[in-house]
Amino acid sequence: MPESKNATSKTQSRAPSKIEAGIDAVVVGATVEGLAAASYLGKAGFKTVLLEAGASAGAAGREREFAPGYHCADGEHLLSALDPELVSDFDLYRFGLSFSNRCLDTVYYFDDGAAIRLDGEPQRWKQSLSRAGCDEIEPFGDFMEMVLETAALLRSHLKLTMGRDGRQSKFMVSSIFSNAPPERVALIERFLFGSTDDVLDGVFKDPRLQNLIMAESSLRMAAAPHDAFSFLALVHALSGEVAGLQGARAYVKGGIVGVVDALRRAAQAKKVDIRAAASVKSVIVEWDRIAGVELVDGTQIRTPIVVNALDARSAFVNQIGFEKINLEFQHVLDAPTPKTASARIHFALRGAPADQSTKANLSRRLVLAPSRTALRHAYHSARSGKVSAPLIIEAVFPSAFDEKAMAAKKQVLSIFAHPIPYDENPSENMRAEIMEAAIRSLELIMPGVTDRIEASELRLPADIAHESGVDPVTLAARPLILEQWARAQLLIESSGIEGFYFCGPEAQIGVGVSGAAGRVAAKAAMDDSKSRARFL
Amino acid sequence: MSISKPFDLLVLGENPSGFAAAACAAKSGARVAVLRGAHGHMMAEDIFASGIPNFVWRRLDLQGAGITLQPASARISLFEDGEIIKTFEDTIATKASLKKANITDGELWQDFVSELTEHAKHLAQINMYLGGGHTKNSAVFSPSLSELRFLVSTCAGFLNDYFESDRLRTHVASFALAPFGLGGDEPGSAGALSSVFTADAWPMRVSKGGPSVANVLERACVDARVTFLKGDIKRISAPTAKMREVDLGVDGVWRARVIYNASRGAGGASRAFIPPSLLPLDRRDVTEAQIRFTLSQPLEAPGGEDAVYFVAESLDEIITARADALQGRIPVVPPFSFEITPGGDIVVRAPYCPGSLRDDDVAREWAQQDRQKLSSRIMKRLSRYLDGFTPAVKRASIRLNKTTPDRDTRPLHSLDQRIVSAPASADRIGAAVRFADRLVSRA
Repeated sequence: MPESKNATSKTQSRAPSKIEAGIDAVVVGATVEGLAAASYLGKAGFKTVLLEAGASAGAAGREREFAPGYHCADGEHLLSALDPELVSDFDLYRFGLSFSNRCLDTVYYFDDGAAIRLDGEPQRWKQSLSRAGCDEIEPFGDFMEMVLETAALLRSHLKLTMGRDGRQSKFMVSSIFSNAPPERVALIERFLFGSTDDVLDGVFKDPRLQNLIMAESSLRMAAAPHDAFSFLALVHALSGEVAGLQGARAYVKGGIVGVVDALRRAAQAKKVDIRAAASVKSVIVEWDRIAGVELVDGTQIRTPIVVNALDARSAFVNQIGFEKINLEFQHVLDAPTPKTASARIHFALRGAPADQSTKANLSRRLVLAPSRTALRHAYHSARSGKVSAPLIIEAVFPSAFDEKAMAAKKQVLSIFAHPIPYDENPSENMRAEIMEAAIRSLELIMPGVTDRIEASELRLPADIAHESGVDPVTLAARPLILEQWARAQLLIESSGIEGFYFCGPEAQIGVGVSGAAGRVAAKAAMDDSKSRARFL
Repeated sequence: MSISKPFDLLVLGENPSGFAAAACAAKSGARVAVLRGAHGHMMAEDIFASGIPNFVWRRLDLQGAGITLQPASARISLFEDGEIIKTFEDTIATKASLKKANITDGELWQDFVSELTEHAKHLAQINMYLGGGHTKNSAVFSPSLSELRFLVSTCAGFLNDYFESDRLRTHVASFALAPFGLGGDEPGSAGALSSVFTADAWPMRVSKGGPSVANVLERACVDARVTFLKGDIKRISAPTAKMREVDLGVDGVWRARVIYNASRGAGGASRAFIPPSLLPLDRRDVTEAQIRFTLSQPLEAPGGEDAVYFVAESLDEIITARADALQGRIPVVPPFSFEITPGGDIVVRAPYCPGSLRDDDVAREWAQQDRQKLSSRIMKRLSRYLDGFTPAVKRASIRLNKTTPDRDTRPLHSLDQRIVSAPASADRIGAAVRFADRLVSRA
């Protein structure tokens, strides 16, 4: 980690290494998950220390000035799932969480220049389609209703659970079906295992509606719409709840930074000791049990509980060490190198784009949905290291939610372009190609936007990983939901090290942050500690 | 003749898998019909068909049917630089052969096969459960986390975990993926590996002059009193929750409890679109082309005439060919397999062809010149692997085994637990029969 170097240089004198005792739990990494875990532990009365390698807690989501006078933050620009339990348990609204927009409408654009707007509230999709003058309103509305229903049904099956008595969790397919109405079973089967193409076979013929669904199920995902199991991504995305609405997308005031800040205040209120510039060198394991952590500056903190919110490689390989984990678990850590990723691009615009449509849609979510063939081409290109256009674009104007930026008439446009090749060392040439493809795609949403671009900043996984020290693999396109869930379960259940709890990016399912993994880790730690106390 | 007593099972299409499934179901007491499409064609499964599994052989009493099936001697990959990779049904022989070819990975072959066989069991369980196979009483299906991970993993990933040798990976991927038209980098394609290592998936060859597998199984249907219907499906409706009605227009209206697409291609032949089975092994949007080269003089094949040959230089080549097909293009470098028939012809199968071609994203049917383009590409390619091939070719005939109508033109279907497809498997006959058993016992 780059920051760790600063920490060591400040305290070069390694000799009198300090040993700190009396700590109930240590949380490593002030991410949304780490902060959530620490807050829960603090709330339960555990003397909790939260260690953050960066200069300030939650630095990963800080806002940066990417062009003079223009600000934007990495990470999510919209929220589709913020763990409702976490929000209500701490009443995060009291700590400053607030929404600029609880449910953004989405406007879909197509290769042929057409556009469809869907209401931000899933319940109102049907009505919004009737405004668009679409032929297949009924089938589309019914279909989306079923997707939402299935999403609600699957929610309890695809969340993280801690296996009981050291037994591994299983994927309870039969119980999903026995809880579903019999006439829905065939459909749910398709939603669970089918490709998006398969699912679409049976619902509507309108290519635009099909493209819309394909874009939504593929955005930021490694699986193309023709790949098996790909449809579940959409079902899962719509199972998320934010601001009390299932399937909606919200803009948090201050963006992702607003969430981190609220959580940090909540953790502080629960007396969590947050220490910045404290980089963990290793986790001390004695007899398959957690004994504490050792910092880069030589300090040792003795504790029976470590909750790690860093990526799996840092948590298990770098800090615990390969030799301490059992062979089977090493296999869990292995994952194939990703092939695709999304590009995050911030644009500084001289005023809003000129076209009327974009002007009217500044506070909406804009999505470019390429045709089936174009998307197949884009995926194949990305997987073989090339860039093609058009790509799927998800665009938001953060400036439309920010009074200061509005006053200064400075527009910031933030987009995800997907899919592009995953590359740990992207060449200048590759970067230029990605930028060009993204702008070409963006032009299909807002013609003429190119002339308004004053500055732009391309943020690839490699860039963010380089600055924050996280494993770039965790920033690549997300694997299949089933794979994510299976691996997350294995990571949290079967490290074989007592007192160690994992809630890093690999323990999060789906796109975006939610805080649920942190909550699950903290609750498991609390449960175990209670049963140990009883035993003693 | 219009509405008679309903069939328990209406099997679509006439091909070995369908016949075997129909005959076995009828023998176990079900009322079964096979629908021959009015314009249907038989899928040419006969040359290197998967064998007839033992349990089917016994149930249908095929001892006296006069058919002899000979297992293919080996699977052989040819490479342009002359290297040959040979694997056998027997793992010990394979290990020895790989050792001879200086591939150290051969040491892992046994482990590789046994891990896949283990996964195959789970996959078969899932196949039985999904796609209309599960019932209220059926066994609880809950894969463990590692089974679930295998289910969604890729063939390329699995091979990379095991083998260092690119050539060996390419060889295994070639024969595992070909029956399914998969590229190897898609989720779920690892299942192709486990399917191809199941007991009855080894390719079999029919001896010269004897009856074909299809003929023998068709006769078994007649013996088991299977009804044969002919016609194209105009409409399928549901008069009651437990009954489906098939309207064949002038050829009558028939009722059945379950409509069963026992093999790929059957749906297409009967002019109905039956959704493919759910799991990723079913061939979708790509078509297999079969080209028969009649030769003026027999050619010597580098590994004997009883082997099945595969031509692909690398895994990337397979992935690219599949991507081309998915985008409606004939692959520039088509991977293929070939076999020498007992009559001395060479039959090539190119698994990665588009179902329909696309120019500027508009779909069109295959034209004569497209067929020529494909066969000349394959001929040119094959001549680099087989000495004296081009001058020996007397005639080439090409056929496309189009399995499903094109996405743009096929009708919407409603999901129906009573209109189902057999799970895709490298052991097609075995899978079709087992699934039919399940359907009949359910009804």
